[in-house]
Amino acid sequence: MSDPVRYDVVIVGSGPAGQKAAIQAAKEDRRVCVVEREQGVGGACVHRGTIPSKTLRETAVHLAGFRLRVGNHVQVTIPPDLQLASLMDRMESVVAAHVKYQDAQLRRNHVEQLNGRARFVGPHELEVETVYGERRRLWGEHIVIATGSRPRTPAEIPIDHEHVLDSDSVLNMAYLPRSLTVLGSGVIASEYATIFAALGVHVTMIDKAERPLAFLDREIQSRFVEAFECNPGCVYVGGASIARVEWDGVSEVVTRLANGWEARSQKLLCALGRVANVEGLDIGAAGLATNERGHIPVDQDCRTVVPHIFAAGDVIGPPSLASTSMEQGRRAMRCALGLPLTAGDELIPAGIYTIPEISSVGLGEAAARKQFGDCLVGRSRFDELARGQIAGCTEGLLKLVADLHGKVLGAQIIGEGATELIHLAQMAAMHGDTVDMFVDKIFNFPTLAEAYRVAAFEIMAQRRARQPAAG
Amino acid sequence: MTGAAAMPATSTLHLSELFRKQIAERRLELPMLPGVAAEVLSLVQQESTDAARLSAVIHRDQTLASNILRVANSVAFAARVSVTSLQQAVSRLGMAQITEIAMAVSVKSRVFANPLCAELLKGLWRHSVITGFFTKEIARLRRRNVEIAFLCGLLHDIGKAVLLSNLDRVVTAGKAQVPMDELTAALHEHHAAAGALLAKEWRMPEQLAEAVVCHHDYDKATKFADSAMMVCLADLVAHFLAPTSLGPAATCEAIRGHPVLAALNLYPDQLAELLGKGDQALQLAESMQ
Repeated sequence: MSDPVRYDVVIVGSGPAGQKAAIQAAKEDRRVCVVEREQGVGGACVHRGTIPSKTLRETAVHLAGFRLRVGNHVQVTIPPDLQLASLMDRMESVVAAHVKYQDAQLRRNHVEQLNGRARFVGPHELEVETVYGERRRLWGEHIVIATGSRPRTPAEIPIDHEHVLDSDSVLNMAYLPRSLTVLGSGVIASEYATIFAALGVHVTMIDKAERPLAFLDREIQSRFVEAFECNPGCVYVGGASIARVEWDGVSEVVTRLANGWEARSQKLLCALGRVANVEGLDIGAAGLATNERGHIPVDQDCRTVVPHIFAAGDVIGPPSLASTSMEQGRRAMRCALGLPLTAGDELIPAGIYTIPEISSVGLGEAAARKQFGDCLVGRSRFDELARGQIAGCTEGLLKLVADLHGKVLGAQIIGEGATELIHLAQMAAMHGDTVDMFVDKIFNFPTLAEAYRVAAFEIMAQRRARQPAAG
Repeated sequence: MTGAAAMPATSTLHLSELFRKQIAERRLELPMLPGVAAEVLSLVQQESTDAARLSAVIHRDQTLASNILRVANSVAFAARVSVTSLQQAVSRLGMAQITEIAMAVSVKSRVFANPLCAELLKGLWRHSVITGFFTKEIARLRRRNVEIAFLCGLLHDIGKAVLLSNLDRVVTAGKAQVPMDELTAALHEHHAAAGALLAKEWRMPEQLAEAVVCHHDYDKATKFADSAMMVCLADLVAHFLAPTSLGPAATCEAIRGHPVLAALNLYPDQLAELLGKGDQALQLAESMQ
């Protein structure tokens, strides 16, 4: 085999983390090669996760909105033989456009791309095998592992991609099922549960956690469960221990819990976490090993125990959000190339595309009380806002958290537009602003951003009430 | 060409041209979708389908019911205790599998039944079953939904069956045999178009229709390119494992170098895993004869 081709940076994986790492290195005039095992750049985010599921969600949101607005006058039903694909007919074009855009960005920045599976053959060297079995070697001064993750398939759940599905195969079901059991209560489980609920499917969510989305504020969790269970036939079953899942051989998947309770549904989605894509990478040859959860351990700058090798994105574990992965990829590359790094890592927002959507940034109420001993909390319900009433998104809630001086520490929002609205709180927290800013500045009217003013007024009132005690 | 030898035909008439005209002028005789099969196909598409409804539909056709029992008791389905009733078959094999068998049995009896081409149709049927098996396995390997994959593969060459069924009507002018290579070329050239007509006539779901029409030309699939690509590879694998007189024999090298592998992103070890299931495929084909 000929000598390896030498690069300044070799990146394995072209998802959000790999893409941003590549662009960052290219901007510094480094010779970069991205190795991608799938056809087309983008990783699971573009081809199997974020983009396809959000396309289906968009249809579900429109349907739910249409029902809400004209449901009293027009009967809105989904035909029983409707093909799921017809609800996602924009997906191909959305994915193609995204791939094209990302590919063009890499080309514009002279990033070389190689389609194949990579494995380490030494600390600086990788062997890449193409689909046709050809092999070539690459040498990288710096290497970034950004291989992403895939759905976890617990041995006790018989996933057959026909009746018992994972979050990859659920998206190409032929037809909408009448009923669906969702195992799990994390982001992916919650997103799919609410999307299918909005499409009229009877969804049973089952998990050992008492409440879904355990990392969120309890009030937001409660609002989420209320909104989910408002859909006909939808229920969250928490504190559950799954004893057995089996296809009854006829027409239903049976999920039995340890307490004897059972759920029957036409399909089941297993969304019990994801596992890092490290198999076949032979990271041991580079001197690396995974931790007990199967992730590659890194420091705060995404550097592994081998100093010139970095890892970013899902392969290093939670939070496994595309936004976080992008920042990790960029940060890893800046660190590798000795470029200045900025702080602010903890202010990356979390966006959860449930229906209604949820977003959070900074500290929640419980975390703020734990960290500062006390805090001020302002709330604004969307049903109190003119825009909330107009748009019919009255189930929304914004929770603003501030310190005793009114300085913004974080926010949690549930309701349509949450993932956009959260950025105002993010900016305020990053700049150390107090909630007064939301009152002093003029916002458009009517908008949902008005919720910040309402919540800020509440915090200001609490601050006034506490002033003598605060000194 | 055992079947074709018995019929009046001539090589002076260009078979390809005759097929082309028949298709263009909509004069191709399209077999009716058997009533029970139509109902089964419709049931597959309905969310409210349950085992009782499926059994009831199948019970109306005793030939179909007995054929299902025969297949359910075959080696491919490895029943330890013999299946004696349709309900037992449904609960043993599951509704989806029974649906697949029902469709297969119905379509075989109606579309693959021209006695003049019996041998050719038998080979084509075997190839279709094997392609159905591999389409499903490829979908599973790629963690895609396998629900409709078997039917996509099973029906992919149904256009060839339609053309063969029309052969004795199309070729009436001469007495010479149609040379095998001319027949093969003509079938290859026109089977997608004939399949498209049948897909429309039978109101096949879009995914099935695209598999029938686009399995050699998956770039033209508008919605289900992935499905068409899986059928394309399954077709190649089936030709490799069980060559027929109607299709080009595929070599392992040809499969390993085919662009569809890159399109599906299947690596050599995954292809080897797939080829390792050859015996299962052949067993299934045997049981569905």
